[in-house]
Amino acid sequence: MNGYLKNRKEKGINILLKNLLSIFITLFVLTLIFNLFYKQIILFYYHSIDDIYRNKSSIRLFDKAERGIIKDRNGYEIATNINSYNIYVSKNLIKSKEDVASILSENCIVDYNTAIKKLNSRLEWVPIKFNVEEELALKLKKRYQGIIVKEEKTRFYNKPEIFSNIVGFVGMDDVGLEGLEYKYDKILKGKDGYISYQKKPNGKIYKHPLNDDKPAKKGKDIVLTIDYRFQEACYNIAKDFCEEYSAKKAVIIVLKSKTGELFAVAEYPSYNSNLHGFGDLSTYKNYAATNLFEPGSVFKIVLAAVAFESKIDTSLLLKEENEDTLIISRRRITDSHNFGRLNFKESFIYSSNIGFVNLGKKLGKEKVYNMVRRLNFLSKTEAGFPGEQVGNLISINKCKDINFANLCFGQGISVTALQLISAYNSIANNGVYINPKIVKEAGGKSSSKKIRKKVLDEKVAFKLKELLKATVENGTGIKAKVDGISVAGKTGTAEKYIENVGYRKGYYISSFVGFFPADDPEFTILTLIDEPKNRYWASETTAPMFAEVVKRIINLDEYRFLVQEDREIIKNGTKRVAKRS
Amino acid sequence: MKDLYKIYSIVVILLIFGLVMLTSATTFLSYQNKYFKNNPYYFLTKQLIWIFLGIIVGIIFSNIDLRKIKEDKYLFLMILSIILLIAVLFTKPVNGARRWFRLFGISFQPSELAEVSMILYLSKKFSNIKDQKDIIVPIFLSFIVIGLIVLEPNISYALTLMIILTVIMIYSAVPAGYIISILILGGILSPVIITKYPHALIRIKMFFNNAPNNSQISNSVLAIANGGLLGRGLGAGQMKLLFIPEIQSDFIFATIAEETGFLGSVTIILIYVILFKLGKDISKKNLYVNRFFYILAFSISFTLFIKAMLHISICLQMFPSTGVTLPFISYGGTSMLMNLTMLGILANIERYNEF
Repeated sequence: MNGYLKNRKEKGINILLKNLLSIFITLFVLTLIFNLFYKQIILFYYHSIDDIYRNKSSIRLFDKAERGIIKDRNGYEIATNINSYNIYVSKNLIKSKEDVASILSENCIVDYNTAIKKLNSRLEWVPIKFNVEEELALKLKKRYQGIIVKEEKTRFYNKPEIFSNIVGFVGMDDVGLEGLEYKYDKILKGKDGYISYQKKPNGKIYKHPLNDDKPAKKGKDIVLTIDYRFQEACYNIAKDFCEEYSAKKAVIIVLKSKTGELFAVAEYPSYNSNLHGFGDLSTYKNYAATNLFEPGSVFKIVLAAVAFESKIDTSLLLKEENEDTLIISRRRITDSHNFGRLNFKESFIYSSNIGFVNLGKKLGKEKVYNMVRRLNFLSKTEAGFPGEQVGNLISINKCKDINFANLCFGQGISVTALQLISAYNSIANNGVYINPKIVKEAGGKSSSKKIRKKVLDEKVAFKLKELLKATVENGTGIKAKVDGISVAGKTGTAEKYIENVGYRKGYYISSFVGFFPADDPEFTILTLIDEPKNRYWASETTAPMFAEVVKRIINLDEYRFLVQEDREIIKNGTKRVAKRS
Repeated sequence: MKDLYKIYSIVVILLIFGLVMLTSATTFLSYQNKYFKNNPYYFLTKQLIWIFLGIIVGIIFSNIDLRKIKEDKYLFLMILSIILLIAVLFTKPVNGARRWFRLFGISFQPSELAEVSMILYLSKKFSNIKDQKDIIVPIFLSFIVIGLIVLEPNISYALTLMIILTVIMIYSAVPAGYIISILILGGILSPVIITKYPHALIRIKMFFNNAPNNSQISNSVLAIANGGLLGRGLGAGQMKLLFIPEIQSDFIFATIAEETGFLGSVTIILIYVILFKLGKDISKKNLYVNRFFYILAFSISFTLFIKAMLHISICLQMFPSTGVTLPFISYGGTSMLMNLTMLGILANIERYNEF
């Protein structure tokens, strides 16, 4: 050891200091490792610090998914998308809300207070206004950091009045609010994505290879069973008749008999899907699927079906010569006028209420109730419309004589037009019930619910068909006749039950349900006029409306064969062999 | 010699890893910035040149027989450092501090030279203490160096040197009274100095206020925290994209932690610990052979180690923001040169120890 320290050993205090130093160093290293553990494991895995990190260093700009297209069976685009300029604000990028709001109000996008309100929402990506004019949009582009003008696809409806009752409409942010747009929103809407950009500390953005993009996925298309030519023709007919009779509503449904595919579900008046939010709110609902009404005489087919099943012959006498009023529980039941002596067949084709009340007495409640259920009046058709309603009938225990008497001619039960047409369609299909369908394909898959069941004996169905044919041939449906085609159908004129008022004179629903060609039906059609003024008998209103629809269909090239073949049948008097060439 | 090869391999690993991380951390920065000629490899190229120079100087130092060099040469080195430190105070300030000489596009930091001179001089003096003067003079000169660095101002560096001075004194068994008085003096002086320099005060205040506005620090912690266990992958860090200033030197560890995760960060810490341990082993071999080498080997390895740990703890926001480089990894010409020189001296000790 040297000089100064020669005589002294390392003192205890020096050793202590050395040891302290070692302890300090060890503790320091351990603290560092523990700190790293806390930050990289605990903070990272348990405190989602990831979000702060991502928000600080990058930004995700919303990428709106294009909505799927709604097409008709021929590929006609009913609901499609067009380019539009949409304005958003990315709050992550703006410096002051007030500045942004004043720029937006200066450019007449939205007024200052609305802008502030929108910017104060919890969203990071704030939609300000959609469908801005191109000139304005281009002017605003790159004006201010954080205001983002995007060219996006927005919903557009072709011939909106014609299809609105089916497709419905979307809201401002392209979310389905009504109709099939609402029901099939999940399939149509696709998946929104984002495009990320790197942020500089000063807020400017740029593209960097580190950024992960998740481009929006386009929604899937939907193909309807609707044929736009049928729909358009039916809409025009409905419009003509509705205006002629100053009615509240006119509805036409055309159904492909063998498959249940709806070729047209038209109603007038309707609304413009492109201008949603305006007009009468009640018109947004699809009448055919959601409106319940008392069917009236068209319902007599149910009793006729029960009668045939009970082996009752068409020649059975149901009404005496001068029996012009029935009194049940002090209520009077009458016909439109006294038809004289009527048997079962005549009662049906002339639509005698008295005859059918008498028939009902012979059949009994149970059988009739049973048939109502079998013909699906008490369950949904599952056609694919949102908010579909289901028929109402007083329960059999509570059904008094007067209720049952009313039921015999279709009052006191409420049904939807779709239920009614499907019941008739099961007669057209020789007793097989097929539910109506509106959607052929949703997202590449056939998605409609399929119900197919035997509800009537083939012989019974045949006899019913004969009755319906006779009705058009010489009965109340005579105006539904079309040259060269055999038509089967039934009229119905129902007194309308108005909530809290009851049945009121002058308020009717006229309907006609039928199919053609009668022997091997191609189409089943329902025509309906709600509250026709001037004339209200179905034989005068909906029957000619039906004939009009049939004429328009056979005018189409591919359905002209229906006429020719029918002519052949008339000429040869033989049953048709080949259905279709 | 075995220890020496271990040290060499560790340093080579650190250098290569450092070059990778430096490239990852700075390509975007230099590509973006006109000042760096928009060259993404600006830092890489310069660092490679300095490493090359450093290796040459290191080899030279490892071949000089330090035992033959007289004490006054070390004193001369110390005085040269002091003169340079005084001279640097008359240069134009960069970012509010006078720390660099710029000659022909090369910048040189005298404080780094002062660090090596101080270590050499203190080790030499404390290895052979004959009277009180041998203790007081080196401490006095060290205080001049530290004081001049405070004036630059580079307070954090001054504090680092203060720590090194104290530890060398403890290790060379200078009477405890001196050590304790220095600790007390430092304790009194530090607050006085810090209050004189508002920027340091602000940083300290920010640190205690959980640094809400100090983007430098919080972004560094954010980067580290987002490494997770395995990191985001080399090159995939995002905070290096202009969010952390001086990332190439003072915050390089943030990028390392971000891109290699907890495992990578701990490995780096352990590598420095091993380096320190190996240096200490070399020192211990000289305990009864050459007291100068005994102190010097320890001082060098401690200096490298403590700078690394301080750098990491600053990145972790455990200390107020300061500029301490990560040895062998951070960008910085003088510091790389000096670190490699110290490595050369360490090699020198080990080599001459064998004879």
